[in-house]
Order: sequence, then C-alpha cells, then structure tokens
Amino acid sequence: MRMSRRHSLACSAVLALFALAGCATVQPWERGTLAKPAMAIEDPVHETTQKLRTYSAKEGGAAATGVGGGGCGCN
Amino acid sequence: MAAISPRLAALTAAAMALPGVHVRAADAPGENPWAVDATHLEYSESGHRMSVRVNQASANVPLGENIQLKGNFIQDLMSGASPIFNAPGPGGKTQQVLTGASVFDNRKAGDIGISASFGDGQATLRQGWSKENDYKSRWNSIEGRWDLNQKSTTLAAGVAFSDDGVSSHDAPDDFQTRLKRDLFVGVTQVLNERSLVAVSLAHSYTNGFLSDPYKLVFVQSGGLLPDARPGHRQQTAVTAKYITYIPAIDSALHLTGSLSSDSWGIHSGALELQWKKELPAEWLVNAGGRYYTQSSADFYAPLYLSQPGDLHSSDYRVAGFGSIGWLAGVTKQVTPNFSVQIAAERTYRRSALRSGGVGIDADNYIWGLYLVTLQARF
Amino acid sequence: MRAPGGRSAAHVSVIAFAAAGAMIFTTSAWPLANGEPAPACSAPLLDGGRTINVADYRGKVVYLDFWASWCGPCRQSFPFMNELQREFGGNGLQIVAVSVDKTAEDAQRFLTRYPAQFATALDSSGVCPAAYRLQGMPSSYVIDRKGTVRAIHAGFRDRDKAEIRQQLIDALNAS
Repeated sequence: MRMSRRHSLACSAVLALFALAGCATVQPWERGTLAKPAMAIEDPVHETTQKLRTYSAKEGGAAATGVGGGGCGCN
Repeated sequence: MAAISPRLAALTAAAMALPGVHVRAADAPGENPWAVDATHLEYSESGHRMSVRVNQASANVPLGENIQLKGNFIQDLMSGASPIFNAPGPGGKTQQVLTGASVFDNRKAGDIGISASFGDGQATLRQGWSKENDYKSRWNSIEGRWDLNQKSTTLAAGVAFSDDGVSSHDAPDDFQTRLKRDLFVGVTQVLNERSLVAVSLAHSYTNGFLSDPYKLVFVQSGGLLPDARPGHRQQTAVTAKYITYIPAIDSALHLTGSLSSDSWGIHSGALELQWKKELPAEWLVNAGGRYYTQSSADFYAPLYLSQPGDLHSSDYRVAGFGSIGWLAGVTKQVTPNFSVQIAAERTYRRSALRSGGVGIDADNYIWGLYLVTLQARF
Repeated sequence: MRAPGGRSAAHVSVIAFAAAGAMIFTTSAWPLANGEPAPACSAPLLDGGRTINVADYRGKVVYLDFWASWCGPCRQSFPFMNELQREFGGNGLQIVAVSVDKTAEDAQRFLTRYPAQFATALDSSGVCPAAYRLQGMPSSYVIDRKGTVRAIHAGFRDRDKAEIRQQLIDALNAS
C-alpha cells in the first residue's frame, strides 16, 4: 500500500506538469516493451552529438541533461 | 578596414564551449559490467567554415561488486575559417568577415570517475580536464541516482564545478579565469507498459572572462573593438522527454522538448522527434527531426553605427537564429557482446527562424556530421 | 534568477500533490516471506505444451525461477541453473523456469541462445508472478520438499550463486 502511494504521488506530480492522463502501475514482469532497445532513454550516440552541439556552442542555450531510468528494471 | 592577423584568427569554438562537464545520469549497474566504446565523428560547416574530426573512447571497469571505474578520453582536431566580425557589404547587406587561412587546433580532454551502488541508489564522482592551445579546463562532478517504486521512478541529481582558463594565440600563456557551477535534477517516470516520461531541470552559473578573444565588433563611426560580454551568466533549462511504443507500427517514438533562458537575454527552445524501430537480425534504425530557436543576447548587434556601451558582441552564436535539421542512424548488434552504430545529422541554421532579437542572414550556414561507434559489453 | 514559469510550476505541483491524495490506489504486493506455503502456479511447458503445476513436484526441492527474453541478468542465470540441475538433479532438485514473455516466440528465441536443461514454461497472463508477489526481474524461489518457500532472490548477481547453492543443499538435506 505504501509503495503504491509513493508511485501514485510520483506519477501524478509528473503527469500534472504535462496535463496527461492515465498512469498505471507497471508490474516488474510487465516491462518487456520498456526493455526494448528502441525504448532506451539513453542513447550514447545521441549523447555524443548533443555534447558536440553544446561543446561547440552551436547554440547559446544550455542543455538539461538526462536522468536515465525506464528499461527492464532488472536487478 | 584593418587587416586581420591570421594568428588572431584561430578557431574559438572550444574557448567558448561549455566546459566538458558530463553532468549526466550514472549508468545503471548491469549484467555486463565491462564496457568499451569508441567513436569517430566528423563535423563540417558549409562555406569552408569549421571542420572538426573527433575520436573518443570510453571504458567501464567493475572493481568489486558495487564499484565501477569509468573513463572517457576525447581528442579532436579543428580547422577552417571562423567569423571575426560583421561589416557593411554591397547593397547595404551586412556580411561576415572570416579568417582567411585554415587554422588547426588540437584538443585533448578526458575524465575518470568512480560509481558506487547502494541498494537502489548509485553515486558517481568524476574528475575531468580539457586542454588545447588557448583553453584549459578542470572540472569535478558528483551525481546521484535513486530508483523507486520497483524501478518505475528514477530520481537523479548532480552538481559540477569547472575552473577554466581562456587565453589567445597572441598571448597563449596569459590565461583569464572562468568558473562555472552546474546543477541538475531530474525524474523519470514509467507511465504504463509502453510509455515513460522524463523531466529534468538544469541551472548553471558562470563568472569570469566570458568574452571571445578572437571576435571583434565593427563600429561604423570608426574602429574595431574586442568582443565584450558580461562577467557572469546564469542559465536555466528544463527538458521533458516522452517515449512511447506504438504497436501498430512496431516502433518507439521519442519526443523531446526543452526551454532555456539566461541572464544574457538569450531565450531558446528546442523540439525533437525521433522514430526508432527494431528490424530482424538485431538491427535498429532511427530517424528524426529537430527544431531549435533562440533570441539574441541583450548586448548583441550585428554591427554598431556609433560607439557602443561597455557590453557588445557580434558573435553569431549569441545572435538570434533558429535551426531545423534531420538525423538518422542504424545500429547492428553484431554479436551478443558487440554492436556498431552509424549516424548522420544535417542542420540548417537560419536567422529567419529566430524567436526574438536580431540576426543576420550572413550568419546562416549548414552543418552536418556523421559518426561511427563501436560498443563492446562483457 | 527564476526558472522560466517558476511560479506556475509551483502551483501545478501543489495541485498535483493534492490530486495524489485523492487518488484511488491499486493494491500493492507485499513480498512473499520465507516460511509461507508456495502459492499455486500452473503454466504450459514450452516444449510440448503439457501444463505443469508447482504442486506436482511435492517431495522434490523446487527452484522456481521467473525469467523473460528481455531480462539481461537471465543470460547469466541460465548457465548457472544448468549447472545446478546437473549437480543436484539426482538428489531431488527440480528447476522450473517460468517465462513471463508475452509470446512463446520471444521465449523460444532466448532458449535458442541460452539452452535450458531444466523445465521451462510460459505464463504470459501474469497470474503466476502475481501469485508469487514478484518484486523484480528475475526472481527465484527455493521451495522445499513440503512445498514451503525457504528462500527468495530478487535479481541475479554473480555473488548470489554461492548462497543459492547452499540454500539448495540445505533444502535437499532437510527431512
């Protein structure tokens, strides 16, 4: 019960910021789709090009960086 | 118009770069703790402007059960012409004055770090450095990451401190100091079986010598003045990413949006959409587009009719402009331990796409890059 | 210096937390504890399709493992489980590995690469892992000859091998 409340809190806090709807609890055994390589949140190659873009100061704006997470959630 | 010394004209991109701070999420401890990556990247701009050739390698080595050692090394070679200032041209159209000769600049940078895992948490300490002819940097960072709700929620935060020295080719040992502090916080949240969202906030504060030693401003009433920017800069950026799998097309869509604002008056926004699809035999293709726009800095002007105030810059990077581009890549998992990725990008920088302020068409160019990455995991 | 839209973000966060307080919670699973009876689980075998039940193996020590084709650590656990089945099969160990993949094709693709010399079954409905109150992937349960859960492992790491081996030996030697 406690774990689910925290999950719901985190979910709604994030979702409220996006005005999206529908945040479901995903069980550890239901993470197959999230574990697909195409769903990976961190893309080392993309990161390299992002870095080059900011490194060469192509753009004046600052880059907010990645957090990680998602995926299979395996231990 | 005074002749410009070729020595003055060395490439300045690196000098004005955000220091090589990798304030990013620590890598998740995985079942393949050994990792080695190598990348070769070639970047070029239209009109004989800057070209960069980059070689990068990184490694991850486990030291015991919960400790990892990480290292990165990057070496790049830059050449090409660089804009110095803008001047009135024929027909009343402002034009760029670039360095004539091709100049070379060699940069070496690296960092090492230690990651420690504690249950659902991980902390990483990093130390990095960067060195080239007219720029040096030393930085430290600490990042933490925490998985909650059976890894449906990930929290991350990090801080970095950077101490840079900027000199010029005319006086290579005469370094001016620049200090930077970065902070980021972020959260990733799994929404359902096929979607997740990630939001992060970054803030940085830089003070010291922030002008470009190779850039000048043209004053109509007479003379060229050196680039002069404020001695401090605060930047804040927020990024949101939404990733979802669409069963109908058996593909993932990645949508990223970011907004940034700073104390120089530069406000920017970016939007990127990427499509990623797995193909049989462990191929992965991705393609997407990106749009970026920024407003010019408060102290920017393409050129000045009369003597400007204390702050003035005609650097195209703090001008108002936007860009639109595409990116695409292919990845192949060659063996369970080894993968190869090839990617390419092309972007059109256009003053007309700016979100505000001033910008000139003379600053427009096209840039492109391609890269090859090899990844090994054991 | 305020972040862009800083004030409205604060307002939204307050609303978000208030909304969270009013949300309907789904029941969350407290993990299974040692000493509890092994919950029922039946699933068709991946080769042949005959349905097996964990209860069928009463009298043997059962090492019940939940895996998936998308689970990275499972690539290490499978060779280890082959070793265990070889070593202790004669003494009464039965390893039962239940895949939680959505399709049999996904599970078979993994087995082609990491063959199993033990029973492998498929439960794509999520009933078995829910019954076992699985906390993370992969998870394994040491079940003694009387059908009681003796040990639970969430995740698989190299250092777990020695501990698992010892727990199986203890269960096999127990009366």
